[in-house]
Amino acid sequence: MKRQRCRRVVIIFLTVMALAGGTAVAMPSRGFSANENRYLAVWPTLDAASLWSGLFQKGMAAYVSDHFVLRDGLTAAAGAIQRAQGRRDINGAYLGADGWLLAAITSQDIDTELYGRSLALLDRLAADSGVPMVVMPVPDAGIVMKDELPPLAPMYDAAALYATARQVLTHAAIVDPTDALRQASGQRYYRTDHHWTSLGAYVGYRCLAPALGLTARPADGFGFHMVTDAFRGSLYSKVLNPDAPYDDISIAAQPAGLQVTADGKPMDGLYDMTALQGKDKYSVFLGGNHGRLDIDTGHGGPTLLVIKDSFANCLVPLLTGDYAHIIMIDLRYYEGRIGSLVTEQHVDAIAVVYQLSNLASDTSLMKLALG
Amino acid sequence: MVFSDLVFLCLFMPVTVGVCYLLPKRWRNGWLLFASLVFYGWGEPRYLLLMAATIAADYAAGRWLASAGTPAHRRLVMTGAVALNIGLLIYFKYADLLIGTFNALLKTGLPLVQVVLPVGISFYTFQALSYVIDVYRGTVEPQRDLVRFAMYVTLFPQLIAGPIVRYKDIQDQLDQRPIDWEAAYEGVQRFIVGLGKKVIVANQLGLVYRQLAALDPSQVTMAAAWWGAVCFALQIYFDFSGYSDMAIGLGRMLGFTFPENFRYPYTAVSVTDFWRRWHMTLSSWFKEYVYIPLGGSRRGRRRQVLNLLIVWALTGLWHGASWNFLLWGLYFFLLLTMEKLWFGRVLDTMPPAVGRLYTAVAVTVGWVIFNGTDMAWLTGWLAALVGRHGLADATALYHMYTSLPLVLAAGVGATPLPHRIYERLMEVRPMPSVVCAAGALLLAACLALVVGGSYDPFLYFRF
Repeated sequence: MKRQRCRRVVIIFLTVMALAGGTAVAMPSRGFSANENRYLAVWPTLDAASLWSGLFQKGMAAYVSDHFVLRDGLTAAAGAIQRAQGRRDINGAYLGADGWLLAAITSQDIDTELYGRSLALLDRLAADSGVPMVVMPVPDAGIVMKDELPPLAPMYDAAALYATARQVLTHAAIVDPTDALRQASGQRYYRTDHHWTSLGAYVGYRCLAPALGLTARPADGFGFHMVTDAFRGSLYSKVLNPDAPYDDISIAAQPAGLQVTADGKPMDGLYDMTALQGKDKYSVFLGGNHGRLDIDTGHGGPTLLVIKDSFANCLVPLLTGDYAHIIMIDLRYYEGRIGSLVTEQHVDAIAVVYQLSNLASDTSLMKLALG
Repeated sequence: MVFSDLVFLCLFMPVTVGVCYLLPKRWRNGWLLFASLVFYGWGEPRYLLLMAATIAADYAAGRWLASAGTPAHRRLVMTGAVALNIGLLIYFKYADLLIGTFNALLKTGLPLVQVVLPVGISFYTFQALSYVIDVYRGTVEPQRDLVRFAMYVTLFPQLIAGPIVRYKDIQDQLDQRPIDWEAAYEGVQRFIVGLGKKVIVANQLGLVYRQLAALDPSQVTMAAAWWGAVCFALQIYFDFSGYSDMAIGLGRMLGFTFPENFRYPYTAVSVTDFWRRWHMTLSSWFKEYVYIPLGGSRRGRRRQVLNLLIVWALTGLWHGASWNFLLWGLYFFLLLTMEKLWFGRVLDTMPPAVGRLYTAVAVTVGWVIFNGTDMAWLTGWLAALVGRHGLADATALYHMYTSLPLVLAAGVGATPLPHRIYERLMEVRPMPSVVCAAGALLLAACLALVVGGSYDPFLYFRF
């Protein structure tokens, strides 16, 4: 190639690269990325200490990456390249058929020893308090909807985890909703989020109710209705594929006369409708996770304690008709003692509702050891 | 800083190279020294002091050696400088391995030093050693200009992952370095290809390997074990040779010509041949500064085998402060000695395909040892390679079919075929615009994966 032309190409190359980097630095911070559902890096403070420790340099790298021109487009292109190379999982999400994204959770993500210790602590709580306890771990979408997974995609062994639970829990009942969820028709999980839908939660409720001594109510009575059809959830945020579908979110009708308090602050009700304007629309259920959430239903009945993660958020609204008072405890954020809470609040029954793989990997149940 | 980092790609590189073009010649070395120090100090600024000490000591040693003195005196200076360089390398890289092993053997409780390994120390120490030894031998003139010398030691393109550029390879380029636009253009091409090898091929193979390597080795089937090893073999080739391509390309942009580091190693017909094609600058460094001074093959067969043993033990340990790297080096010592003694002659009588297959298998098993910093993992994986935990399972098949296109493409890409096709096309009909468009597209794909693909390992952190 001619010398002049070579020179031009070299200069264009350097200029384009410099412009891309310069724009990223010069661009004002974008704050929150709705698309990725996370806060983007902020420009690091520049001083001698942060330079010397390398913190400034790390912060700058994160900032440039987060504010790179066409970031969303480039991320989508990266996913397309990976798919062209044959990949069927990206950032921990399986790319299933028909736009399905399913959380890729394998046996490496499961800590069987921790799981056993958590179950033993739950069992001890049931034994010490003498309150009837039902434990319902909810299987992940990939366990229930095997057909939507890419062929041969590995998932953790859910059956073995339920068997362990049956073995360890001698003072509590264990409910395995897997078969019921498999047999039910309709959309039981979101296609772009790792949670189950209100329909899935209703199937779970039908399994849980008899174990709690309740008669399951028919679905018509709950008044399920759609509140958004534009939900792209946590799995979409991992893959960021532009061709991802949008999910519907349905909620049960809210009974009258409820009072909901989250960590001592009164809420509008079971649903936080403002969440539907944001990215994390699953937070419409109870406004997301709180250390302690109290629902006073305004009618008579027993008191239920729910020890839970976010999978319970769309299930608990279905239980409000059968209890006078429901206390939800999320051990990740709650710092009190559960044993004394059970006594003080005269709890009549305890339900433990967790995503199975979270129950088998979350360390916060160790707080139960405090009593 | 690493090359696949946006701060490097979009800020450091264009500014450093661009300013170099704009500056008058006499300022360029100073600018490159400054830029290289920024590059080096970016992650761990405090190691700039270590770098300064290395530069000062080796510069002083060179000047000292030049001012004559008796042979014994010169020998003393050279030995001192070599000992200092090696001593720093041992302290920063091997101290904890030695203390830990000592503690384990003698049940003592000596505290570990727990220093962070300074990035690139194994590469630049070897470069600096080549200077001191060659000045002592009289094969090169000592460098009087401190800036030039410091620039040689710190020069950012090859600072952190090679090639290991001997002083004599580029001493003339340190002051005479006209900018040649055609070379710079080739440099840009070479850089983009290298970046592509790193982020489009190596990083993606790395994702597959990482998932397989995370499996419990006692449950890994034969298919998964081999597939994982093949993925890693291709990953480290594309990663390492991609880094070398980027270094050579950056050098070309700045007017340097660095030695080649890889020559299609996976087409080698024997392990001896493999090591003439893999990380060539390291092999030739050990040959020139260890093997030949020990007597090489000139002192009889027994002494030669001992010399090979020393060289390969050191080569192994150079790759990381863990005993499995020693094992890895000894593994190659065995294969190479076997080939020297009789197996090489057997191979010569067979078709090249047999030699290629044998080499590929031997090297792939070698990579398993290379990755076996945990002995339980290593023995489990080696057992899996011979099928002790079953032939195949769903997990293996899943990872195989989801990476098959990538592995096949990488396999072809590791042969000279793509380059030959490119050369042939250019002969038949050179299409500079098409080449530039393809380069731009490749660069865009690289940026997409740098921005969007979160997995970007730096494989040389142990070196």
